[in-house]
Amino acid sequence: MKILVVEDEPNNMILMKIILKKHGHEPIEAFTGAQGLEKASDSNPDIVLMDLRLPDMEGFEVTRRIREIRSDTPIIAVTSYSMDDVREEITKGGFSGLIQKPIDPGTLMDEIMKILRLE
Amino acid sequence: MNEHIDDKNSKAVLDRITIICTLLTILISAIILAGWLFNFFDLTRSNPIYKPTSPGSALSLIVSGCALLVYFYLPVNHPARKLAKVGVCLVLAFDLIILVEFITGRGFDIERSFFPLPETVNDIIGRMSPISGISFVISGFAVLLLLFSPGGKQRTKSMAANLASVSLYIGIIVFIGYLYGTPFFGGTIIPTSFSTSIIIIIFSTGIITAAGMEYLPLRLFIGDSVRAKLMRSFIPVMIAYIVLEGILEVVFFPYSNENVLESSIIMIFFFIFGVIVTSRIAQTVGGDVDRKNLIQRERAACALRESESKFRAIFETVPEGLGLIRLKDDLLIEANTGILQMFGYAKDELIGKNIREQNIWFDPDDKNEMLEQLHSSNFAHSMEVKYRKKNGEISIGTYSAAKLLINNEPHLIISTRDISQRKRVEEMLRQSEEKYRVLIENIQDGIFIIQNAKMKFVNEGFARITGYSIEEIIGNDFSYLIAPQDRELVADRYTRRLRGEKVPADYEFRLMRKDGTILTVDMNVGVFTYLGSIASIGILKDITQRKRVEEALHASEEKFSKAFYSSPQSISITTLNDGRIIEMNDSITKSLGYSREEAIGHTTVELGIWITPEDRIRFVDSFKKKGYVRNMELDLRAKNGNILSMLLSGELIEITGKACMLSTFFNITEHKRAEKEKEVAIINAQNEKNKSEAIIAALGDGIIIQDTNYIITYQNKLQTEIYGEHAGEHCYKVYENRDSICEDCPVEKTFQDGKIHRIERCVQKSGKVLYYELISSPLRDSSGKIIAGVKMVRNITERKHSEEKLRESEQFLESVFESIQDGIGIIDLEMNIIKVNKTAECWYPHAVPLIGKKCYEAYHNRKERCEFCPALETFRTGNSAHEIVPKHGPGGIEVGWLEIYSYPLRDTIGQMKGVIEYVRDITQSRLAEAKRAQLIESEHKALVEVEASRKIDRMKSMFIASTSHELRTPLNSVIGFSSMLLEGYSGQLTPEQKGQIEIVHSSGKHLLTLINDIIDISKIEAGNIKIEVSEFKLGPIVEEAVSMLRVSLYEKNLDLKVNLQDIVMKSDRRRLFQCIVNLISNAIKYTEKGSVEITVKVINNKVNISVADTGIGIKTEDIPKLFVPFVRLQTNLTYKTAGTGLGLYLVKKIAKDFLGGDVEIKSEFGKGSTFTLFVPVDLEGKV
Repeated sequence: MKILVVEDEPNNMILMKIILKKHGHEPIEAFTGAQGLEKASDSNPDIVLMDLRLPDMEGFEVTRRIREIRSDTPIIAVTSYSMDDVREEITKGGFSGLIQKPIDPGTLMDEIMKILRLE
Repeated sequence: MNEHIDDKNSKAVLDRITIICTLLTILISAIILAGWLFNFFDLTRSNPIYKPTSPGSALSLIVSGCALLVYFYLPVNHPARKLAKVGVCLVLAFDLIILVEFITGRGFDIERSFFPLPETVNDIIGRMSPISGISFVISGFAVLLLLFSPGGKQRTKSMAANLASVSLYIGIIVFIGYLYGTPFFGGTIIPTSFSTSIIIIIFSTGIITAAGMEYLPLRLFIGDSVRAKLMRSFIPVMIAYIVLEGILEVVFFPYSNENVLESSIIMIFFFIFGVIVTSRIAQTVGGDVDRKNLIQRERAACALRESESKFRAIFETVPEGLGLIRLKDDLLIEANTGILQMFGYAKDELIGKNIREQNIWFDPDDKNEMLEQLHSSNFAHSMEVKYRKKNGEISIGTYSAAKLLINNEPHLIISTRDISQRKRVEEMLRQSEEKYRVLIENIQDGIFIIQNAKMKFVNEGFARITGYSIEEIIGNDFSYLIAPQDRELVADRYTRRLRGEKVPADYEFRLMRKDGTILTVDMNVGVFTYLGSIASIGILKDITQRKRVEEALHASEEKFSKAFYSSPQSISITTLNDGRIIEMNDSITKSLGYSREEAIGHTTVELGIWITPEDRIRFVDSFKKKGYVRNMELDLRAKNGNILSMLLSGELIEITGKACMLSTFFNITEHKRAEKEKEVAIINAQNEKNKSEAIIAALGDGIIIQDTNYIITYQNKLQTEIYGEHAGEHCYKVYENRDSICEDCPVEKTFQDGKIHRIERCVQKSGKVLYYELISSPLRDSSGKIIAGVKMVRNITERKHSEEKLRESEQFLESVFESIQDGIGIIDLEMNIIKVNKTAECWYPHAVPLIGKKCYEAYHNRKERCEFCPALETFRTGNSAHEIVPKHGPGGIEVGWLEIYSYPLRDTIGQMKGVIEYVRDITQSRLAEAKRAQLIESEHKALVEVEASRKIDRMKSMFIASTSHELRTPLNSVIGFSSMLLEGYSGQLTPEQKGQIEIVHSSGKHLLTLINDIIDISKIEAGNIKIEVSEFKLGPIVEEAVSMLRVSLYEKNLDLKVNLQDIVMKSDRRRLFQCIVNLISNAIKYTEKGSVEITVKVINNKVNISVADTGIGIKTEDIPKLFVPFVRLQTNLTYKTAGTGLGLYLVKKIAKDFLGGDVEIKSEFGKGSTFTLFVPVDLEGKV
């Protein structure tokens, strides 16, 4: 699967890429919201992993925009916020799933699997 | 002028020259021509050697000469001029033809045709030389020009003169040539003959001079200038020299041909040169000299002009009349404006005229006299002469005249001045002098002038008075004229007066007549300047008679005055018009009180004698009407202010011409007073009577007068109206229906003690109760005996009712007064307490009784008024005042505060009688106030603190917000990567690596937990957490918590039991979850083996969530420490487990602050613990 990872922290990016690669997915990296949008339209990923804290735009904003061009691509939110805090926003924002930082590889893959299975 | 004359002379000279030359020309030419015609050849030449003048030349010359003559003499229009012109033209033509024939060598020989020659004569000889021909043509043209020149234009004349001069030069050259032996052009050309040359010279000169002064070169010779003179002398000399030299040469060196030509040329050259040189010399030198002369002349002329104008100015402006008369014909040559004005003529009427004709002299003898004087002395001086002006007026003037010669002719210069004015003045003076003289001479009194102590002048009168003759007096001193006893006085005064001291100018003294009698004289003397020095002038009056009269008068005056002053009657004399007091006798001074000095001279009005000015006016009016006043009653004011009634009588008298009043006064003040008193008494009595009658009539009460027998003698109207007429009846019978005196009869009492008595009676009348008041008073006669009783009957029913009502309201007020909670006190003007209510009394129990004491004493225990007292303010201003004053207890100590309002207490007429004070005890409220103030302050402080702490909290949360993310970020990497490694993403790990990475992982997780907890706590501490209330089911939360920790449970091999009573809760889901997780986590942490049991119960609307474990348990004394942050109990598990020491603290905090509940612990050391979380089901419902 082509998975677009929108994450500003390089370490986190590396982590996620390793995990994804390990599981045979093709990670596409984007470090800013703008890049994310670009890559989303160009590369047409199957899944998007969206960090909610981005330097140029809020993750929600990016998601919204991606939704404009790709309405059905599942977007998973990746955030340090606790689940309870953001649960509402996540569902409202059009996100298909939520992963909490610090990223546990298992949890990440579970979530991805969940999404894929739904498809 | 000189130039003018010069010119004239020159012209004359020139004219003369012209005539001479012209005539000569004509003459000579005529002779020559005659010679040719009549073959007298000798006439034709001057010298047998030389060639004769040809007939042609002679003809030309004659005609030209005649023409010139014609030009000269005859006017322009004369027909002869035309003839002359024609003649000249013909001659010109003739000459030109000859010339042309000569030049061309052809022709018909016109000359020969005119003048055939006899054979004997050489052709050449009888022929005109071409040179002559040229000369004739030129001169002919010149003459023609002159003839044709209209009006003698200068240019034409000059041109003619120029032409003539050419001809002249030709003539001269030829002439000189002859002089030097060789005529020019001898041989081939026919030369001009000697004689011709001479004639040419003459003729040319004539033409030149005919041209007149316009020909400039001529001017050089003309005139009186040195230059001209030099020219006139040089040139002829030069010419003479040349001629002489030539002649000498010819005579002594005839025909010495060798150098003749050269020498002639040289001579000519010299001649010309000489002429030029001399003329130049003449011009320059002469010119210079002429210029100098001219300048000098001009200067002289200027100076002359100047002086002339000066003299003219003087002449004109001198105020005197000046005139110049030529004696031989009495011609007035010059007269200045003075004269013209004097005589009234205009300049042209007089100057240049024969003055004799002017009829100036009034008296011809005057003139003769003047002339005589002049003859004798050449000088007539200041004669007074009458003269006649132009307008016929006769006037007088002074004349002075002197003879003088002008141009050797006798002239008279006269100076005159009109003295008619002066004469008039003199006459006036004389007349006035005459007047004075007459006056002085005829005056009865003596007039004298004394100078240097001598009598300089006296009049007839003086002589008469003194008995001396004028001659006897004049020149002598005056002392003998004065009576011996007065001599010193008069002399002294005389000297002092002359010195300028102030001495009486008018005084009397005794004079001694010649016969020794003494007269009294009155002298009026003054100083003046007489004939240049100081003198006394005076007038003497014989007053002897007067004196006698005066004395008699004086005596009679004395008599009269005595009578006047000592008369017992008051008499005064005042002026009629303004009432000025002239005299007052002693009697009146006594009555009015003014002394004579005080009164005399002042007007009656001034002194204030009249009460009103109208009085005086009335007095004076009646005076004026009738001429006298008889017994007028008037009030006058004495000096001391007392009003005096006077009876005035007055008579009009005249004193020293002034109308005055002689007034007599009769003091009737006393009399009047008595009268008045009587009148007043009568009036009073009448008034009293009327008063009482009125009173009685006006009373609203009934009056009964009863005599000592109780019989009604009088009832007033009211009584009568109500009760009917009962006079003569017994009062007790009529009113009380009794037969004897009533018991309480007030009249009886009055009769007994003569005092006023009062009783009240109650009467029933037709069902109504009426109250009556009876007041009795005694009626006395003049001796004081009581003759009757006056009983006043008043219906007081109304009053009674009012009294009742008043009493009721008084009582009401009294109760109100007493019941008011606040204090009321009334003090009078002296600050005595008049009334206080109970409340006030209660405040000052130590000072009771308050009434009668001074307020400051009773209330404040002071000896004097309190400054702060509002009552004082009210007393002062009459307005209400308000103050807060201290409340004093016994001993004067301050026990509190009172608020006092003071109001003025006024009586019915508005006067302040006292002050009513309304007092409120504000001690309590004040304290309360103080406390409140304090409270507010502390509140304020608290708020400030809160604000400060809030600020700190805000900073904290900001800090938290910023750091949390920062803290978490690296941790993510730590945990993430360590997880990844552990899960073998980067390859298989050796157990050693695995173990170490696990440590990294768990440390990371621990750190994350710590951070989260700290952040949580901080958030909670900062108050930054909102309670989010939502409805949720409890069950799923527990499930979730459990599932989260299932791994750890599994790892530790612990059993889990969950006893759930699901319930719908309304609370903060997240926080609740947090607590539950925490508790369960703790349970797991501190249990090595056994189980963790979670029980949920609902008791009393509270959810009890218990987490029981079989762990290490807690000692009782350690329980409190559990909830303290960062403190972990020292157990053997401490090292093993990762704990932050925050968990329970957080749980408690959350439970309390967010969930509205609490946490409880039950534990047994070594056995296990049970943590119970109590949370209300409905968080909102709790409140």
